[in-house]
Amino acid sequence: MLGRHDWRAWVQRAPVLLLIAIALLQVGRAHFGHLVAWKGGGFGMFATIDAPDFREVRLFDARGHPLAIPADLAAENRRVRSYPDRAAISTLSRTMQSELSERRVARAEVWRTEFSGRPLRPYKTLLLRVDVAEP
Amino acid sequence: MTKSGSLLRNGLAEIGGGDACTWAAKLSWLIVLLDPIGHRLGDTPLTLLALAGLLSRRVCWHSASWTLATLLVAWPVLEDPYRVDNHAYLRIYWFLALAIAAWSRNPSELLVKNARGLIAGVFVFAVLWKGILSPDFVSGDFFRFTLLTDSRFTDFAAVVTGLTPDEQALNRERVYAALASPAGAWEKDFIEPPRLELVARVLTAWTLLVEVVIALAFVLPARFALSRMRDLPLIAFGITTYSVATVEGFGWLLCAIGLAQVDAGRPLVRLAYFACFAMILCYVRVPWVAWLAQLNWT
Repeated sequence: MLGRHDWRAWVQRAPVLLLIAIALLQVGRAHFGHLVAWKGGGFGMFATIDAPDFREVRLFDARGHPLAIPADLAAENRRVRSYPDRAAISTLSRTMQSELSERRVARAEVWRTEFSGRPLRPYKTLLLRVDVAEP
Repeated sequence: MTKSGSLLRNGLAEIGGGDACTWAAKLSWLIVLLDPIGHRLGDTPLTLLALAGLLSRRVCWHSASWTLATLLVAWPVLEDPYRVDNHAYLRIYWFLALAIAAWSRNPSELLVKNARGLIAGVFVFAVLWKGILSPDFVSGDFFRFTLLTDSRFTDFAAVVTGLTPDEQALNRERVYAALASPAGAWEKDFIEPPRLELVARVLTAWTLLVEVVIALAFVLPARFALSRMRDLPLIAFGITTYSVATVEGFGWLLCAIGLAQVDAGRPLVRLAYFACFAMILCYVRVPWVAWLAQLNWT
């Protein structure tokens, strides 16, 4: 059990412990969950080309036809591009739903464009494909 | 001459002899004014608090001021943790360190420990990303791509590689075309100046080297010579990196945190952190890289 002194020592070092904990979480989410290195408190800025601007969200209806994401959903779109988890994709799809009259978002894909090689050339990679459940 | 000499001596004595907590607090309040958090509700109370902190000695170093400031800077991060930049996180940790120090009975000792730990943490993770986790940094692709296409580095790219702004704009159009095409169609390669490869390699090596040295200098215990010289690479990093990188808020934070951990008997080192802070401000206000670039074209 922690003594009173130990407890205080932990609180006093809370800023550094928080930094380490959040940065480790960010590294884990980037590795296993496609979070961009630039975001999330892991200090991976200016380390890679893979930034939210080089990711793309593609939404499709039940027939496989693409659905354009309206400009006023830029924040939700950017959130998915930064960290494409199911929660963010569901939020974007739900918000889209309220703007669409008949068609429903059935599938979401997140793509990444990398630039590498000599000379530098683009390569598209599918990061994630999610079937969106009925609301 | 005598008057200016005594002014300099007195100024140095004041900076060198003053309490690290007060100096760090003053710089941190100043950062709030120079680099607002960008939150529609949090910005105004935080600005008013920073003004009060700079005008009143009592508010400047008070546990309640720093606790409130910590909560306000945490607001945008808690609201959307994946929108904000990394220095928004560092600002929370740093303000929390100031709040905890202000609450404690031995503020200076605690602030020094947390300041060193925060700098070590930032650079250990930065090195981890650049050196190990991200394959396109060590290969040089990151800097090649950034210099060729990133509009924030147009002037710098012109100075160091000779790539003109028009050429960079053309490269950017090719990126937009590739992004817009579902299959990533690529008709023409980037316009690459002959110096690009070398410049990208130098920038990659310098960035990695200086960040590794800073990480080691702040992680190693004081018995190592590198640890005792830790301020030198951090100040060099601040002066060089933020002359080009457009994230001055991060640079100012590093200066404030660096300043907080300097011992009272080293006025010149403290002064160097102030100078670095002022230089970063000049980089923001004076477009000196653009002037250099124009000299290059004429």
